[in-house]
Amino acid sequence: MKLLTRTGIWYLALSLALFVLAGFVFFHVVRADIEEDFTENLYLEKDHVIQFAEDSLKLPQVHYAIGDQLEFKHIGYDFEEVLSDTLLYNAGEEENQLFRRLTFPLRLGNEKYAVTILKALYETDDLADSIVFAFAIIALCTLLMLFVLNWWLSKRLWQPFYSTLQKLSQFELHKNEHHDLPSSSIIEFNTLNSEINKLTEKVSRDYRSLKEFSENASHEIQTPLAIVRAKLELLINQNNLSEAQLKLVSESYEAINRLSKLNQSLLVLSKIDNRQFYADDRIDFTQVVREKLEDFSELMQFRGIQLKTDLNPVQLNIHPYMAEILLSNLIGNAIKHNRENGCVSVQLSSKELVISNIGDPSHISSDDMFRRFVKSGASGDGCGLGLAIVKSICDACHIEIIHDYSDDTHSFRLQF
Amino acid sequence: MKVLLIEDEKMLGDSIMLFLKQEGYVCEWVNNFNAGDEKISMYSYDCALVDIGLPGGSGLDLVQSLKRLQPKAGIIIISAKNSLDDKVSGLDLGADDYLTKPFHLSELNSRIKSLLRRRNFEGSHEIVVGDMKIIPESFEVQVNGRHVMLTKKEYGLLLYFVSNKNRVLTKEAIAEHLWGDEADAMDSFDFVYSHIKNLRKKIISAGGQDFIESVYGMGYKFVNA
Repeated sequence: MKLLTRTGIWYLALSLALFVLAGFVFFHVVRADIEEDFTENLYLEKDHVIQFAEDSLKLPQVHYAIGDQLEFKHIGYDFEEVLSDTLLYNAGEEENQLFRRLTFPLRLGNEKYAVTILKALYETDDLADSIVFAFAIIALCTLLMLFVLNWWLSKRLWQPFYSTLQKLSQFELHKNEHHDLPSSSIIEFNTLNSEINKLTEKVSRDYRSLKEFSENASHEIQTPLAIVRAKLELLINQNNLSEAQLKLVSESYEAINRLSKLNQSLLVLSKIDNRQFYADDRIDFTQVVREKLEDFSELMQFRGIQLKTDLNPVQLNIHPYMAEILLSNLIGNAIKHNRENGCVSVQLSSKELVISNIGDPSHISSDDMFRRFVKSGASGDGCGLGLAIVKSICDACHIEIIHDYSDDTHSFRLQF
Repeated sequence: MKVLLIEDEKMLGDSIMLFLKQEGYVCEWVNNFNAGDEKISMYSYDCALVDIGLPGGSGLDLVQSLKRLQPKAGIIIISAKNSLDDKVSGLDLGADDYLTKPFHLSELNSRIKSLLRRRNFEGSHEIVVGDMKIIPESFEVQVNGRHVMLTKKEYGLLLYFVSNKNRVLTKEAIAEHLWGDEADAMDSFDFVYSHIKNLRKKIISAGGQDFIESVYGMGYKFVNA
């Protein structure tokens, strides 16, 4: 829910409550006023009646106005005057109506009378109706205004906030671009923007230095590795080595090679993560797939692996080097984890590339498969980075990659 | 054969120098840009091995001066930067080959030899080893005058062996030579073994001598009897 919607609802609820309360109070105040007026009129009429009786020594003529009644009753006792409200049936409007009644004693000579003046209070109903109506209109206007105000606020006042939000959502750490958020005339937004600027700058800087560090580290490791490897190669070629010595050298050499491969993989990973392989063109992906399959065809024949292909022409926005690594790793994997006389299938359509192979189930879950340094154990010479590299390339090229295993078949599905 | 090595890393330079001398080359080694520039302008070489990241300047500039001053010299860039841009610009500037550190010395040797063959004899040179004759121009191999049919990989393997006579070629070096970066993606050692087995079989059945020896745990060696 938008902040403005939420505040709007609160404003609305509050103002509705306020309107109801105000209407209620207003109604009561006005009614009290009117009723007081009624009562005053009753007393005024009483004075009139008494005045008339004293002047003319007879009872005034009983008259019936709408809602008003004057009654005289001859009684033989004294009583205090009574002001009260009562419901009486009004034949005209066919309903019970509230009347205010003033009954007071009147002495005419020796005769005692009880005079009752009734005044209908029915106008108060209309009054309530009018008030409710008037307040409803005001409430409606307020609602409309609130709506317009919200719309305007979100359009104008909150605009810098939304543009900040949009920029934040577009912010990508690995893209080395940095846009400063503009300053705003509103203090809060200004503070927000400048804090975000500081934060993103720091995060970007840290990220860059970390990436540079890992890339530089890999670079620096390469040279000593090259030295050790070259020295070992020279040592191997010394003709006077015993078999035991050769074994030691051989094992060191193997370890150095593993380290070197690992280092190269890490270097490739950090380069991909640093977005150094930026694709500016679409390439003929189908052609690359064909070439890679050709590269591996010998190995597949050697392993007795059958290849099934269904390749449709696809252009893809991917750096050629990344495409090569991606395919090498996936196809190499499909061959490595295959069975004797197994099968590899490669299907390429404009939507997806599916590389699947017959193989034994892996103890690694599909989710863990793309994590770094996760090894299947069966083939010990891998460094566990192949699929991590694949995943990194897919992420860089906005390709979704899914692994699943069913019917003795591993499938890697790359959705473009 | 005169080879100029321009490499700033002392220990690596030592190894390369030792190796090249063992192979019978006349070698000179400089470890910075200015010295390299000086050597290039003063002496002539058959082949230059140029590192890109050098103290004092970029090896790419040296490639340029080499190309200008000594157009006949073969140039191999050796660089720690596994960067495509460097590779492309280096080859564009006229380098003949590009080798990424860490490389196998045997690979470097094979590249130098193939380069020198191409440069000096325009590819029309025959390599004769015992009773075997290799004609690089037509990718042909003859044993005692009889033609031996080899696959492309087997031919590459044989040439690699011949370039590195009497040296141990490790399984890793062979795999990398044959498949390049692809070697990582495949478990290639048994594949290497099968290629070597086939190559030996073909040469022996053609009446040739078995030149290839296996070296315990390490790899193989071409023994020139």
